[in-house]
Amino acid sequence: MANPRRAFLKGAGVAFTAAAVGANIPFIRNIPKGFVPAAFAEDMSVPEKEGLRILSERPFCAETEAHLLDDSVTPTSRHFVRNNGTPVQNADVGAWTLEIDGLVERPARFSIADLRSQFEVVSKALVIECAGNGRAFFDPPTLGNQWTRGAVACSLWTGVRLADVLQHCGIQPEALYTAHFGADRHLSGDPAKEPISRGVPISKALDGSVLIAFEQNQAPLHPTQGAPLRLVVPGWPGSCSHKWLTRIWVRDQVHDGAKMTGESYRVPTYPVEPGEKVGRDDLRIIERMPVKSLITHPQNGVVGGSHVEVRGHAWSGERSIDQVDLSYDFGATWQAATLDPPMNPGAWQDFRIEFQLTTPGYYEVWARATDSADEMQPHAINWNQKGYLNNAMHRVALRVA
Amino acid sequence: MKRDCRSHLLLLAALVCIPIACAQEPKDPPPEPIAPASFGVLHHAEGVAETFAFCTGCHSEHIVAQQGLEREDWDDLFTYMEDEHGMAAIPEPFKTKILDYLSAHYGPERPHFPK
Repeated sequence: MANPRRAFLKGAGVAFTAAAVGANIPFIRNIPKGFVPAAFAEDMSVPEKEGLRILSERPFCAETEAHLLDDSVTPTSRHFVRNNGTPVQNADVGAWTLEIDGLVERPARFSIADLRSQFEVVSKALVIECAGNGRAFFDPPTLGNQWTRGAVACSLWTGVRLADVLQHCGIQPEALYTAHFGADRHLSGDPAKEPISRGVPISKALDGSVLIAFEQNQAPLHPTQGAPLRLVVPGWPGSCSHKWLTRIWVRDQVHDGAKMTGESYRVPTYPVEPGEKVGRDDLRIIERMPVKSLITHPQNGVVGGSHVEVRGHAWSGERSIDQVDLSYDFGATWQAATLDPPMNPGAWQDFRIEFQLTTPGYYEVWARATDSADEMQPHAINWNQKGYLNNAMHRVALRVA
Repeated sequence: MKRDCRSHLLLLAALVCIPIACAQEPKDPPPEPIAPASFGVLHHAEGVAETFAFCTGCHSEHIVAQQGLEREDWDDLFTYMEDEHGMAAIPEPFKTKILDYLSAHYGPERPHFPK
């Protein structure tokens, strides 16, 4: 079959399923109608290069396959890349400056050496996830890079707190929102256009969680990660974590820069049917990212023995994870995994569990995280017109020989 | 931006002129066929040359090939690129030809989603 995934979306019956996956399915009676086996998810892949899957060369966008995200702290080489414009090459670290202006008492310009010497330097493991992570699974499809699962990472970031720098400059009472600017260029080459310029509410900028980072995993920032200076806004859409950072403008209104307006990084204010588009007045700006988990071991589609160790990570923007449950019988029964505490607030949490699957055949391991506000991952995608916030449960296919 | 698009119009003119020149000079050897690789990951069909030439003036054709949109959504996307990214309006007959190509090969069924 050319595209089994599409055939299942069109409603192929469960009787067909066992033949299609090429194995006995011990829990076949639990499979809902219209269900797409996880074994077919790999047909959404795009070409591979150096462990990252390239979604687009210009702008450069690449994600990491789930099984390559097994580390507690994501290596720099496995951190997804989402660029919007033409990146900065060969940045002069010594000459780089960050300007803070707008509604501050003392506008200032800092070199990276100034930031290091004037403010406390902190290192934290922090989750950055693209708001469009999981867009590839939307039906009907939505516009944008078709990220599958790998536009998320948790690296060790070193820098100074944005809150400390803003407080040093003195925030004026009218301050409402930040506006971020970088040195990358619009793809058209037009110097008057910003490739992206987003921001966060001033309360978020001052909450102490946001870093102005100059190191990733104890090395200077990599050119693809915004060298030599970037923001890291943990648990918020990755687009807030501005790369090649040169300026933060404090404003008395919600920032209206590139990709802050229209439909960008916005979701409907009320639930919609898949395919239903709402007007711009009924969209809200995405803030914290929802509860989610990722199975990083075993790799989707592997064939193995009856003893299975399952590992992964779970996270929820501005919250911690209380529990991760796993199922190997299409959701009929669930078992709580062993769950580690986060390395620090803003980091993901590792989970693991062992299963004995004594009957050979086709299984799926499903993971479902519950966060500290009792919110749980849904089974289905909460469809929206730009394909954001897919936090549906991750399912991994497993064949027991 | 506008200069980029003009340079691609020249490329496009060169591409579409080949068969015309061939028709006028039947004794000339046939032109080298345009290999599918010339259009990157785009599906090789009527309209691919125009689509590749206009789209890759600003961005990779990979971003095109990932989408699965209805014709009217492709049209809206052109408007978005004009309004938000300074793209010059695509002149006819190219716009219709590109819309025909995209809606036939990059619709919601995603028959040519990159593997």
